[in-house]
Amino acid sequence: MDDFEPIRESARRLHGAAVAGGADSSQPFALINAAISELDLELFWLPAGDPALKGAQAVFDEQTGAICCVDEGDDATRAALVAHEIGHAAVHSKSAECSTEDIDTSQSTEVVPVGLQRIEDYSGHERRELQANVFGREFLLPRDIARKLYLTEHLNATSIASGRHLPKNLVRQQLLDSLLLPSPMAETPTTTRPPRDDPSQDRAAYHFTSAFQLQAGPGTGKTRTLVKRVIRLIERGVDPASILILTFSNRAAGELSERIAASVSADASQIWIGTFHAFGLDLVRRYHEQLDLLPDPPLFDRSDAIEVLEDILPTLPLIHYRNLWDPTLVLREIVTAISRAKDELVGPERYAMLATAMKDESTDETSLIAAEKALEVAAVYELYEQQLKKRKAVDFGDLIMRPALLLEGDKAIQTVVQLRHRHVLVDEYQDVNRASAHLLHAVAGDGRRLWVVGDARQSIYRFRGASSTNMAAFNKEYLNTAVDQLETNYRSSEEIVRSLMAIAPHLGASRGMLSLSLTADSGASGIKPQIRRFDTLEEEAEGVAASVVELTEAGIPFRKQAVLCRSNARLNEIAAVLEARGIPVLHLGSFFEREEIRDLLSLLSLAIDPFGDGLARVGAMSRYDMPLQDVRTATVRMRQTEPAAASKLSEVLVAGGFSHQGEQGLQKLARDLAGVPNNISPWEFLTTYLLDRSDLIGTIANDSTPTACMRGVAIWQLLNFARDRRPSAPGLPIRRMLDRVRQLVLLAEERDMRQVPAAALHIDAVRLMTVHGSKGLEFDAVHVPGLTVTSFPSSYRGHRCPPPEGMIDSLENLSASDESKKAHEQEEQCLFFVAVSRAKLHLRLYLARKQPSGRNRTPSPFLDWLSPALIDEVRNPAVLPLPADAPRPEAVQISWPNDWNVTDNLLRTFEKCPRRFFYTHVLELGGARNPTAFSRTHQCIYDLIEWLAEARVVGEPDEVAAAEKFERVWQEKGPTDHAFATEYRRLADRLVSALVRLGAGRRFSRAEPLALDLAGGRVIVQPDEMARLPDGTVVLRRVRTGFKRGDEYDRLEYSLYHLAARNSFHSGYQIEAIHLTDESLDPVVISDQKIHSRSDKTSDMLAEMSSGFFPPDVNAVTCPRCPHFFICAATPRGPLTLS
Amino acid sequence: MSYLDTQPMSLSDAKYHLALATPSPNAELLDEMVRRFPEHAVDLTEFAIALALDRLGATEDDTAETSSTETSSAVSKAMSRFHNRLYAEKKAALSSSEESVGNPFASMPRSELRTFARAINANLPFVMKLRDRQIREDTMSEGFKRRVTEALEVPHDVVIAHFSAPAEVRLDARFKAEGKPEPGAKQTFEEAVRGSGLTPDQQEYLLKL
Repeated sequence: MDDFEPIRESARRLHGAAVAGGADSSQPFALINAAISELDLELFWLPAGDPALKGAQAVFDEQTGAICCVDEGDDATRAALVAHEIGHAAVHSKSAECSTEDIDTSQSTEVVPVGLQRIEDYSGHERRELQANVFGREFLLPRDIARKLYLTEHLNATSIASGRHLPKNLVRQQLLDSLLLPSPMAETPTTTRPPRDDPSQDRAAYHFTSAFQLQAGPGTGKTRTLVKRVIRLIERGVDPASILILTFSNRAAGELSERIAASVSADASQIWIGTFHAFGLDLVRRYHEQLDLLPDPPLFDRSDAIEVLEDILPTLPLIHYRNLWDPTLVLREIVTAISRAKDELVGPERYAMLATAMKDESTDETSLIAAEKALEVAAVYELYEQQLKKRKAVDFGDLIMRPALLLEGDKAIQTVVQLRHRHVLVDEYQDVNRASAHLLHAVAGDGRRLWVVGDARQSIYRFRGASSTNMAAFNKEYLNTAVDQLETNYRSSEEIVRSLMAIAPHLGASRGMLSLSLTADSGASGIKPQIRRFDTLEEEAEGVAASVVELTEAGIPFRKQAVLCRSNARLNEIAAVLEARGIPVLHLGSFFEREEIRDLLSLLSLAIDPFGDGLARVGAMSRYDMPLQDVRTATVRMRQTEPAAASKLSEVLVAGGFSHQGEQGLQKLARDLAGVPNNISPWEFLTTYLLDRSDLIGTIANDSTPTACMRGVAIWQLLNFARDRRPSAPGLPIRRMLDRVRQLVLLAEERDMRQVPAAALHIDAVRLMTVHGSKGLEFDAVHVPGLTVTSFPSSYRGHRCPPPEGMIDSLENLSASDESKKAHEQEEQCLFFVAVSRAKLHLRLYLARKQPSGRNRTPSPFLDWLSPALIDEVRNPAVLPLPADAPRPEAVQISWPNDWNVTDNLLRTFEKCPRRFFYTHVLELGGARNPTAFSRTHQCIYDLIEWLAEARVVGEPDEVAAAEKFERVWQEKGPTDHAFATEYRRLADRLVSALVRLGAGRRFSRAEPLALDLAGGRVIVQPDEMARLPDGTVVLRRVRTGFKRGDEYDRLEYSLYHLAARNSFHSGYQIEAIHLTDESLDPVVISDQKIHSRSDKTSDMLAEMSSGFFPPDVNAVTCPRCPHFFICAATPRGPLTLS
Repeated sequence: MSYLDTQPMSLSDAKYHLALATPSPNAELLDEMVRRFPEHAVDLTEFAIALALDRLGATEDDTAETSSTETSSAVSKAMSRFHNRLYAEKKAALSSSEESVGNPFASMPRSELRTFARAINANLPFVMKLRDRQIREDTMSEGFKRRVTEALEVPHDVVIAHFSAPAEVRLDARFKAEGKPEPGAKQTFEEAVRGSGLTPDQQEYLLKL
C-alpha cells in the first residue's frame, strides 16, 4: 500500500464524520468547523507577524490545541491553510509551524528522481509537511468525490474549484491523483507467520564494544536486523539524535525511516537517516564558511557542469578530446572522469601529477596518448573547479569529497561531528567507495560505535568506485573489528538457495568474505530453476511471454512475476512483445519516448514554437484526428508568421483549404488552447489543458486495463516533473522544460524516471526492470532473458576517459584499464547473483542460440556454475506468437511531385534516420532551435564556404578578401555578444584561412549538380566545389568543418560523388575531401566493390522511400538533439500529396 | 555496573563529570550522561562539544606558543581562522547549554491550559505567548501578574522568573538540521492584548488588571 493511503483514509473519515454530523461537503468551513470540534481544537486568525505565529503562516500548538493562522487571503486559501494544520493535529499530534513553502496544496507525493532531486528525497520535516498537505487535500475534497464530480458530473477543475470554494491547484492535484493513479488495493490479510528467533540477527543487533560488520546474504533480513540494532540502541538509553544511519539510496532511507518509526518508542524523527550524499550536503551546509561556500550552495548536476564547460570550451586545452561542434558528449565523458576522480578523493592537482607521471613513464605512442589524454582531463578538471569556486557551488562528488577532506583536516569540526553522531550505522556497506569510506572513517573515528551491514556479492555499482574490496578491507580500516553473517534466507526456496550457494564461490566479490552459508527458511519447494533456449531473440521474447502466461495459469499472478534484463534496450523490446500479446506490464520504459508523454510534450511545444511542428503529433491524437495532408497545410502556413503556433491556430484556419475533418480537428485544438498563456509554468499549462479543456484524462480514468493505468501513471509522473522548481533561469518556463528534457535524455539522466511510483505498484502486471533496478526486491517468479556471452555478462566497453595510472588502488597491481575491466567482470557476476536471488519460487533463465546473421551465440559462462543437478533444461520450450489481428506498422501513401529530386544530401539524411527525413523533407518540418555560440560560428563558416565557392568562379579571392567577407558575415550572424567571442572568432579565422589555403593551385568553376541514374531512381549530387587541375582533371571537392573520422570515406556521400563524377566525367576526375579542423586535403579513393555496394544501398533506400516506410532509427545520442524528438514517430492518418 | 551507575546525580553533576573528563569528554561518557538525563540530551551534547572544543583550543594555543617565532603568515592566518571557528562553535554550544528557567506551563495538559485561559479571561494565542515568554514582563501590570500567579497556583517569583527569562523556542517545535528557529522579539503587554485575537471585552478586562 502507498504510504500515504492511511493518511488519506484518516482524512476521508474526518470528512465523512463532518458530513454525517450535518456539514455541507461543498463548504470548506463547514467541514473545518466540524473537524475542529471533533478533534478538540480551537481556531484563531492573527495578523501577519504576530509573535504567536512564530514567523510562520500557520501554527498548530499541540499543548493548547490551538490552530493559529495568518489573517490573510481569500476563503479558499484560508481553508487550505487550516486543513493543513488539521492534518498536523490528526496525523502527527505534534506542534507545527508552517511556512508558505510548507503549505503547498498541489505538492506531489513523490519527488521526480532526476538531477539534484536524486540527492535529497523529502527530509523528515518536508515529509511531515507533505503528509499534512495530502491530508488537507483529502479532507477538503476526498478523491472519490473529486473523481465523481469530474467523471460523472462532467465538471472541470475550474468549476469544481469555484463550486467547492477551494484553491484551483488543490483541486487539480486531487483530480490528478484520483484520475491518473490506480485505485488503492484493499489490504489483504497476510498469512505470514510471526518472525521466529534468529540467533544470527540477534548476535548482530546486540554486538557492542567494537566496529562490527554484518555480512547479510540475500533475503536474510538485513533491514530487519538493522532495525533491531536501532531498537537495541534506544533500549540502552542511547539518544536517538546521536544515531546516524547512512544509506546509498533515498528509497532505502525512506524504508528504514518508516520501519524504525513504526518500531521504536522514542522519537525516531531525531535519528539522522539519509544517503551519504544527503549527509554530505548537510555537512556542507553546516560548515559552509569553512568550505568558502554560501549557506545553501548551488548544486551542480551533470547538465550544469556540461553547460559551464561548454561556455568556456574554447579556453579548454583539448586536442585528443577536442570536438568543437559537438562538445556535449565529450564533456559528458570528461565530467564522468572528474566525478570518478572525486570518488577517489583525487583533486585536480593530484590528477595532473598522476597524468604527468604517466607521460614521463610512457614508452610508446599508445601510452603517450593515454598520458596526454589524462593531462587534458586534468586541465579541464582544474578549470571546472575554478568555475565551481567562482560560483561558490558544489557538485555531486563534492558532497562526499569536501566534507571528508574537511573533517580529516580539521580536528575541531571532526570533534563536533563525532560527538553529535556517536552511533553510526551503514546500510549496503558494499557500495562504499574511497571517498565515502574516508567520510565514514572521519565521522566514526576508531569505529567502536560503528555498525555496518552489506553483501559484497551484491556489489553492483562499480562505476561509482564501489568495490567489494572495501568490504574486505573493513578490518584494516578499523581495529579489533568483529565480522559475522546472517544465516537464514527467508525469501527463497531451498532450490534457489542451493543455486546461490553454487554461484557464490565463483564470484570475484567473494574474495575476503565469509563463505556463504545459508539455510532456506521455507524449505524445499520441489521446483528447480529452469533454463529455456531459443533460436532467435524474437523467439526468446516470445518464450518469456509463453512462460509468464504458463505461470499465471499455474496460480502466480502477473504482479508477482518479474522480467529482469541486463539492459534497458532489451527490456523495452520484451515489454513491447508482452504488451502486443495482451500481457500487462508494469513498465514505464524510456520515459520521454512514451506516446502519451510525447503527445503532451508536443502540445507544450505548440505553446512556444512559431513553426508548430508539434502539430504532426498533436494532429494525430484521437481527439483531433487530423488528416496528414491538413497537418502539412497548417504547418506550412504557420511557418510564415512569428507568433507561437498555439496562438495562431484560428488564423491558420481562416485561410481555408482544409478537409472537413481537418478543419474540425484544428478548430477543436484552437479552442482547447485558446487563451492559455505561454509564459506560465508547464504544470499550469498541462493541468489547464488536461483538466479544464480536454477529455484525455477522463478517457484514461475510465479504462481500467493495466496499459491505460500505466499511461495514467506516466502522465502523473510527467506532471511531477513539470512542477520541478529549479532555480529560475531566463526564458519561458515551458521552453526551459523542453530543453531540459532533451538534455536529460542526452545525458541519460532521466533513467530513474522509469521507476514506477509507489501508488501504482499494486497493479496486476508483470514487473519489468533492469537487474540493477531489482536490487532489494523479491518476486515469486523471476524471468532472466539474455544469458549469452555478450549480453549477460555484458561486454566491457572501456572508458572514453580512463583514469590515470595510480588513481585507483589495485590489490593485484593491475593497470588502470585492467583494473577497470576486472571491476566490470566482477560487477556482472554480482548482477547475476542479484538476479537469481530475487526469486522466491520460480527462476527461469532464457537465451537465444543464434545471432541475426545466423551465427551461433555463446551461452553465458554463468550457466556453467549451475550444475544439471540444480537446474532443469526445458526441451522445446513454448513460445507465444503475435496474434494475427495484432496491429502492424502502416506505410504513408505519398504522391511525389514530378520535379521531386533526391539529392545526395537528402539521401544522407534518409540513411541516418528515415523518420527524420520524412519530417524534415517530406512534411517540411523543422522547429526553431536555440542557437549556441558554436552553431552560430558554424553557420558563419558555412556562409563563407558558399561565398568562396561562388567567388572562386570569377576570381581568385585571397585570405585578405576572405577575411574581409568573413568579418561582415561574423558581424551579422556570429556570436559577437558571447563572453568568449574572441576565442570563437580565433577558431573561425583559422578555419577560414585553411579553407583559402587548401584551394591554392586549383582553377574553380561553378559546382553544377550532377545527375546519377540508379536502379532505384535518380539521385542529384551537388558537390561543394568544383575545380580543374592544370591537366584538365575535374576535381569535386567536399568541404567539412570538422575533422576526419577513421571511417570517413566509408560514408555514402563519397561513393555518390564518385558515381556521379564517373557518370559525368568518366575517368578524368578526382574527389577531394577537405577537413578544415585538421587543415587537411585528401584525395578520396574508394574501391569499386565498395562503390558498388553503396550504389545498391542507395537503390534500396530509394525504394524504401517510395514505399512510404519511414522507420525511426532510435539513437541515444542523435535523437534528443533531433528537431523532431518530441513528435517522433507519430504520423497523422491518410495519404499525402506533395506539390 | 559502573561507578557512575551507583551514584545519584543531578544535571549539574552530569556536567561536572563531563567537565572532569580528560583529555576531553568522549562519546562513551556523553552517552552515559545522556542515558541518565535523556530530557537534557541536547544540553549535554552541546556542553560536551563546548568542553571538547575548549580543550582542543587550549592544546592548539600551547602548540602555537611554542612555535610562534617560526610561524609563517599563512599558518598564522590558518590559526586565526581556526580560533574564530572555535569561538563560534563554543558560543553556539554554550548559549544553548545554559540552565533553562523552569516553565510553569510546560507540563500542563491541554484541559488545564484552557482552564487557565478562562481563568484569566484570555484566549489560547495569548496563553501561548505567556507560555513562550513572548510578552515583556516589565510591561505587565502587577495585577495581571498576580492574576496569573493565582490561576497557575505557583509561587509568584516563579511566575516573575518565567516571564523575565528570554523568549523560548519550544523543543517540540521542529527545526531543520542544526538551525534552530530564532525566538522573535517580545511584545509589550498592551501589544499582546491588542494583537492576539481577543474580544474587546477580554482586552478591556486584561488591560484593567
